[in-house]
Amino acid sequence: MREPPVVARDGSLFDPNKEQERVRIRKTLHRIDEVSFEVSGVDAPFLNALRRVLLAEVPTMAIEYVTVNENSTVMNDEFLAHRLGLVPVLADPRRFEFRRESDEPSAQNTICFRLRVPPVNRKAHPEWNLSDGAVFAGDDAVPSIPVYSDDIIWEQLQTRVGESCLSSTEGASPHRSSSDAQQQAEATDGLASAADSTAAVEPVQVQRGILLTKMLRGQRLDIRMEAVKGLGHDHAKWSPVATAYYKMVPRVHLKGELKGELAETIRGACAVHVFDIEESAGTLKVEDESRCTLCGECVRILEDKPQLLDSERPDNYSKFMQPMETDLRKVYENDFVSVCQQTDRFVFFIESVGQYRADVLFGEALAIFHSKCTKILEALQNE
Amino acid sequence: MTSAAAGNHSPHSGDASLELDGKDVHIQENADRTELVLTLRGEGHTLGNALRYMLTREPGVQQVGYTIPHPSEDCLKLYVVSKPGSRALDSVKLALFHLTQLCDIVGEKYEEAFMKT
Repeated sequence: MREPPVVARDGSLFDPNKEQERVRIRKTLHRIDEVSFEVSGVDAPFLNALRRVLLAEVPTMAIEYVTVNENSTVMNDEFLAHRLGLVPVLADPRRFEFRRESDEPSAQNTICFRLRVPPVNRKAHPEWNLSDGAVFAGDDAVPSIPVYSDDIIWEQLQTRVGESCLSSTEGASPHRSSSDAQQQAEATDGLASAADSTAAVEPVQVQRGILLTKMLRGQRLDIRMEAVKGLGHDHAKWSPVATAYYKMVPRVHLKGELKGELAETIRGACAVHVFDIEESAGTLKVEDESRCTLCGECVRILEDKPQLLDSERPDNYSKFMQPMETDLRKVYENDFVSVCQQTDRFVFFIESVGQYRADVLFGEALAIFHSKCTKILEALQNE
Repeated sequence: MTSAAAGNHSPHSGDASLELDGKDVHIQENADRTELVLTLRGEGHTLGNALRYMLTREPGVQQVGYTIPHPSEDCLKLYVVSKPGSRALDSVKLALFHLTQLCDIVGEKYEEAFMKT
């Protein structure tokens, strides 16, 4: 029943002027974190390339190096480090450079974060100020305290001394004994002196409200993180999109006026409510064909009910024969319903994770694909 | 115009070595330059399929296919046969150029759709 996938719409030669007229884009959803738009006149291979670029080749910042100074929670270091890596770092990646193995960390290629629980400023966190009595009151009263990504705090990058600043600067300082006030002063002093003086670096946030782990009173976490720029094909944490996908525009046609049990059956078969019943006339209508997922259930359900097929075949069946559109491909069809795809129109969906505004992502992908082609073109130029 | 997987069908070239010599692009051609195997390092299906598609729309191309010979080897092989009298590599260059043009066109339309509000 299915035809082979469409590789090229036709064998037409590429002509930029014709293409300019043919390509149409219509916006259907425009939000800060999600866009969708309808594209016509562009073929699937090109859109697929863009989709792949969006998923794997648009750079973002993500936590890559994690130094665990202290972790007495039940979650082991590796697990925690992995979870930290997946927290979106809400920095504009275009302001940063890639950091290669040989590069020194700098404000241009690295963002530093620190996670310290219990927090230095305990007054703002009442859950850490309970007396022992309150905590161990009942039988089951050993409450675990959730640690959210809200506690990940941006730090200015400290210049590395020797092998690793991460362990050397803080590893020795005794958190446990010193008072909170002292700790804070110590920390800020250290930062100010070592701060990169060249850049007035803006603080960076991570996505808030993500549960990292749970811990009990008396347990401690002290973790330093470095976020670097990377690509989604190395690890999904660097992917800027939650999803990016396209589909051919689905078209659902009814081939006649359908009433009664048949209409009810077809309406009920659809899980995404493509169909509805016209209240006044009691006939089936297509409510919203764009919801269709091409499951084909509306066609398949009648195979199990031959009595419906015989009794209610519409008399005016032939009148409603749809006009044949050239770019329409039938996916499912019976005497009452046909489900088609329009092969030259696509809906493209992009959901941003948060590093980029959703509406700039497509442009970024285009630019990256463009430079990919240019780079090879240059390499071939002298051949 | 038909598409076919390149497989290990290679043109009869003097240069049989598959080493890339540290370069990202490697070219093998036959004597009259109508057959070409282009090896691109660091590229995959993203470029491969789009480039093959664009090559099917170039006038000088008779047959084109691409393959990724091994998943653990980060390289793409593009196989092009051009019509007699034209050079296969020229079609590849043209296709790459047309892809950049298509990027520009689509980008422009996208801007139009999203920036006018």
